[in-house]
Amino acid sequence: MRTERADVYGIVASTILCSTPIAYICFEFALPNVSFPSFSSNLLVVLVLSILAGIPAGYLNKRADFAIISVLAYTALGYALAFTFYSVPFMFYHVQQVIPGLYYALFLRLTITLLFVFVVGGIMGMTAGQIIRDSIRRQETRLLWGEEPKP
Amino acid sequence: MAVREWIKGTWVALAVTLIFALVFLSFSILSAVTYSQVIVAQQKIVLENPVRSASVLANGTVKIEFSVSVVNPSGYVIHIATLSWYTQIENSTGTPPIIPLAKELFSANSALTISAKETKNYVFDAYISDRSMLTTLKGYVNFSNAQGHNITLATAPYSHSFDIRGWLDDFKHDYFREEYLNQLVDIDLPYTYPEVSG
Repeated sequence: MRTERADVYGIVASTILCSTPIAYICFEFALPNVSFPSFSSNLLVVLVLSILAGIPAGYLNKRADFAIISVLAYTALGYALAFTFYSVPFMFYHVQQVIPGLYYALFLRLTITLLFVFVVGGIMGMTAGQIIRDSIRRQETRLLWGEEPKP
Repeated sequence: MAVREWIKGTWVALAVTLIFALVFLSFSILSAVTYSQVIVAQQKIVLENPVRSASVLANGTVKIEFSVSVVNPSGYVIHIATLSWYTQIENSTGTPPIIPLAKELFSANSALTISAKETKNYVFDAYISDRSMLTTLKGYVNFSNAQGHNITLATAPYSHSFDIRGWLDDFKHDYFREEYLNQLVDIDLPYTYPEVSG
């Protein structure tokens, strides 16, 4: 199967756009008391948001394998963004690191649980996105090639 | 397929996803800025100008004073959990090894606060007029002078210990397991004289 340009656009667009909810969830999960809005690190909310984040990956990619690649790519980019947000005070405000253990807390202790939820939720959302896309295509085809409306 | 064509074909989905992404990006930026301000506040809230003094009044009562300023340059209110001060003499030459003189303690029930961008001065004083306490103090001074020191009741080495603990604004600070979250918004400013090293 050949890779078309549209596939690359789909992967790039969904990777960039879907990474921000992942970044916010990672940040909020580690620092719920200074995050707004806070959902108190609730894993059910994390799962629902992961499903929502996965829908565009399924909708914008025709092929399921590319959609799965997008899910993995936006999860990785989201983690990198969360890492950046955590480092903001040290990069821009030149303050000393107060709690070095937070890097551990944010990126090692919680990684396995969150990764599992992001990927599982993302694939669930991706499947939903592809179903929505296919149903819209079917409806368009029926409208284009269906019976002529009676006069 | 050119990018423009692809966008034209999927613009509705792209627009919805873009709004979704921007909402979470703004949440992330807002949270990162709040987090930065909390960390900056925590490092800028300090104790300044500690002043210690002792004097003997005309009726023989010993007056011990201590004052210190808490500087809060941040935009957050500090809710005080505990505020404590005590003064004593560390008697390394005999018994008792510690002569406690006075103490003050305020807990969270007192609902003390320090407003945003405020410098609050705390002044404590203690009057030692109890006869047995004065006898112990005079005994300490006499014994020290007999050992070659040259001190009086006004110049005796009174040690002071001050500690203020609190939390910033209304940030949640009572986590049981995730103690690092409590540390993030808690303030703990201790002061001891003489300084304890190591």
